[in-house]
Amino acid sequence: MAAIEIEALRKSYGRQEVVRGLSLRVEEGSVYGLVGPNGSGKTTTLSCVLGLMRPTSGSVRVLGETPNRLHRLGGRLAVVFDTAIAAPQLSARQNLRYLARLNSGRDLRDEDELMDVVGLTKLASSRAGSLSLGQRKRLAIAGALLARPELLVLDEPLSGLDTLGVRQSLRLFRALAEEGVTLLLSSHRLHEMQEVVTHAGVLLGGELRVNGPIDEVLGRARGCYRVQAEPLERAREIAQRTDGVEILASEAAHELRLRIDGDVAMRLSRALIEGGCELAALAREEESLQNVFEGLVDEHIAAEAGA
Amino acid sequence: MRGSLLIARSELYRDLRSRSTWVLIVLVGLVPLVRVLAWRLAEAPERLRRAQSGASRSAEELAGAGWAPLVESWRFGLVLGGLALLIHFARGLAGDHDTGMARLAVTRSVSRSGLVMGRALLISPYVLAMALVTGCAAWMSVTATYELGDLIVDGYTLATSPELRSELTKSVLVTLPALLCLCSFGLLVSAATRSAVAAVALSAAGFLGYDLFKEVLGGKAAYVFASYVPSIFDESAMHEMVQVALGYSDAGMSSASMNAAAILPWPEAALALGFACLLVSRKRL
Repeated sequence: MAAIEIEALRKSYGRQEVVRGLSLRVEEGSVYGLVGPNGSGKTTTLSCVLGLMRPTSGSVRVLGETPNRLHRLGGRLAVVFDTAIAAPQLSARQNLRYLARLNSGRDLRDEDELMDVVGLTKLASSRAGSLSLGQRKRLAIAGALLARPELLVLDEPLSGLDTLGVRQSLRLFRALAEEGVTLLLSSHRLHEMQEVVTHAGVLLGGELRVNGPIDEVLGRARGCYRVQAEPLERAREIAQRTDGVEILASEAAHELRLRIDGDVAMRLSRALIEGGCELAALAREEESLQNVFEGLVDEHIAAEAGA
Repeated sequence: MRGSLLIARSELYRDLRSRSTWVLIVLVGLVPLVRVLAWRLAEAPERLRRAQSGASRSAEELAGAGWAPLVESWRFGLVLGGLALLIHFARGLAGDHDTGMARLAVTRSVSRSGLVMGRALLISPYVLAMALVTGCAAWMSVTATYELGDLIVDGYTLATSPELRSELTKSVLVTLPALLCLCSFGLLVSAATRSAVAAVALSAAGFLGYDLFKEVLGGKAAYVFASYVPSIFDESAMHEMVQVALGYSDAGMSSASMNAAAILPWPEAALALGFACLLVSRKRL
């Protein structure tokens, strides 16, 4: 069963198409990481999913409801926005009480327990407006957890947090996932995201370039190498001639990005040296979201340059 | 409807716990007091002149001298209280758009129209509370220095105390719908704008601008709710009531105008709220 279902979503601002036919499913109980650089369409996609703006075309279902009827979910969905806190003039605790009034009728968590969970017990009486960005973000997370949501959507949940705050948040996300809460995280903190997500999607230029279970996504970086050699054009020719080597697009002008089958790497390095190249590095890429992302960005830039 | 009630409850909670709300209530409460003091000061030369000529006012005349400052100071309180409420309701939705609070509400348990209607539910209690605060402040300030007996000028009884009380009650009652409509107008502006600053500026400029130029409309101004709101260039029932309390008029506002003031603001308020719901339903939050 899908907590979120998006089909062929498109959103344009005037002539500029920001989201281009995006389709994805966030399965119940999963932790989905939507990653992409600034301007890739993450926030626009989330805004369409949450009913904050109308898509140009396509369909969206969140826990079975259309975006303009999310209020009918009555607290089953909670969202933590990038900047939002309820009322800067109220204390942290009063902010939770204010939100509790918006969720009245639901089985609400104890506010002291929530303050403890997000590490704000000592600041419960401080004005929300005087809290730091990280503290406000933690307060927003506490507010989101108030009504025991089934689906939690977090837009840039780790930005503005210090190292300890990031650790605490990741621990919290894992605990929520263990409780069966579905999480949709939008972030550009790839390293940290990789630690918690079970599924990931990479958005580039409004298109979902990769989407699936995290192992499958990380598999895209499998067998990828970065080669630095002089002269680079000669190295490219040799790589092209070598069986089991595929040249991938790369933004960097001083290196080649290659996908190399099995034990071909040794053969390639030998061929490069014998071919008169000065080989500075032939390094295997780590199977990380960061490398998958960078690879996709390289391909995207190369494709745009080609176009 | 449930979403509207949730918004009304949470907004009430936020307003009651906000320091600025209490500062505003105290300030609006002080306005009638200041107006009574100013009235008293303005009377000083007249009192001096009478004392010098030995023609002081009779005890009967003094007995009814409090009605004019009472109505005038209450009217003043309603002018500034109305403006404060206009700004409050104009700031509400647009301010929540600024802070992202509106997004939180619609992704939780409130429909977009609930954002407007929840606030609209607070208009009546807020207007009544404001009228009560300013009325009590005016009454306390006036009764400390004046008496509220029959209105007697040159030995003639222009109006008895119960008559004046009844006229004042009527004037206040026909002023309230216009104030309710003014707050609905604030909500409409709030729904149409994206920032609290723009909403406050637009709503205040719209209301004060209308006040300045309403004479241009001539008889058509009678169809606009803002003509019945106590304001700087006042033509409201409260303004007419001041003329009665001063003994300059014995009729007050015409019954046709009274009826218009009592009825016209309701459909106009409903229209403003309907448009506000429509705008919010199409707005990017």
